[in-house]
Amino acid sequence: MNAAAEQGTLRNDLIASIPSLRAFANSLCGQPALADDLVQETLVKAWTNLGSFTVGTNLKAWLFTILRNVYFSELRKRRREVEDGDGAFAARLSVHGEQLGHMHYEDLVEALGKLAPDQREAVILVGASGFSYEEAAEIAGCAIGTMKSRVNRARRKLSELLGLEPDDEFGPDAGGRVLAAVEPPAGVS
Amino acid sequence: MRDPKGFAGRGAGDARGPEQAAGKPRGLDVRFASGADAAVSRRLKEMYDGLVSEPVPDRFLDLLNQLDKVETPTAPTSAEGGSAAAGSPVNPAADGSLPGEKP
Repeated sequence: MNAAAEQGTLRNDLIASIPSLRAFANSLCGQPALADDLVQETLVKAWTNLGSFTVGTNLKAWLFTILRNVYFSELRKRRREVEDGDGAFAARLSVHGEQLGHMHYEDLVEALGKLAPDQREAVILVGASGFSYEEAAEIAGCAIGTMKSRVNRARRKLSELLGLEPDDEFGPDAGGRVLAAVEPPAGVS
Repeated sequence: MRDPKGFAGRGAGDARGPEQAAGKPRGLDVRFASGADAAVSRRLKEMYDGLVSEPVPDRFLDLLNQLDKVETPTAPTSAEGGSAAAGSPVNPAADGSLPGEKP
């Protein structure tokens, strides 16, 4: 394949990746306008640096890496700009919501906005985008163990925020674990 | 002014992402099968899939079209004066944000 044809293919692959990039950006920052800016910057960076992409490797992971790096450097930049530290910024980040809420996910979107950014990223990559821990760790630039614990903590926190009780363990396949259920609830006498 | 933007088959309605191609059997929901975590995962996935299926605004296809003209090394007419089309200047090295660079 000559260079032009290869570039054409990559261009098509880029186009095909846009829906995923937008979903990732939206879940990450919770603000559709900002999300689209992130995607735009990602596409420009990707296009101007196509040379550093190895054809045949995971384009989607490469693009997600660019996007999350743009996002986190933007976060750092804004954090520096905000006088009173993380508080005000975190509050603004939690605007997370509303516009995305038209799909009955207001509470989830709001809860995502309350997570630490690295945990939010982790749970989106692994829990929603379908990356493996290995891929997600590579994208986020951390160790696999770190990624796993971020995902775990994010899930716990989301469960809490959404008021989901972890009791459902005694659901359909609780067969072998009836013993624990025999304990009387506290306060019953 | 000539507007060379027209392109065939822009496919703005074609919003399928890789995620939707198939229900990826990653097995992650098996590892997190306990009730609350599974519920979180399911809702997260549903929301995300909803986002993936949103139509792509023309702005992005226009952008790629512009980039195409500016950057294509083989395009005979794009050698000079084309950089304005790229919008904001991008310095890829500015924040070390390209993948492949180990911090």
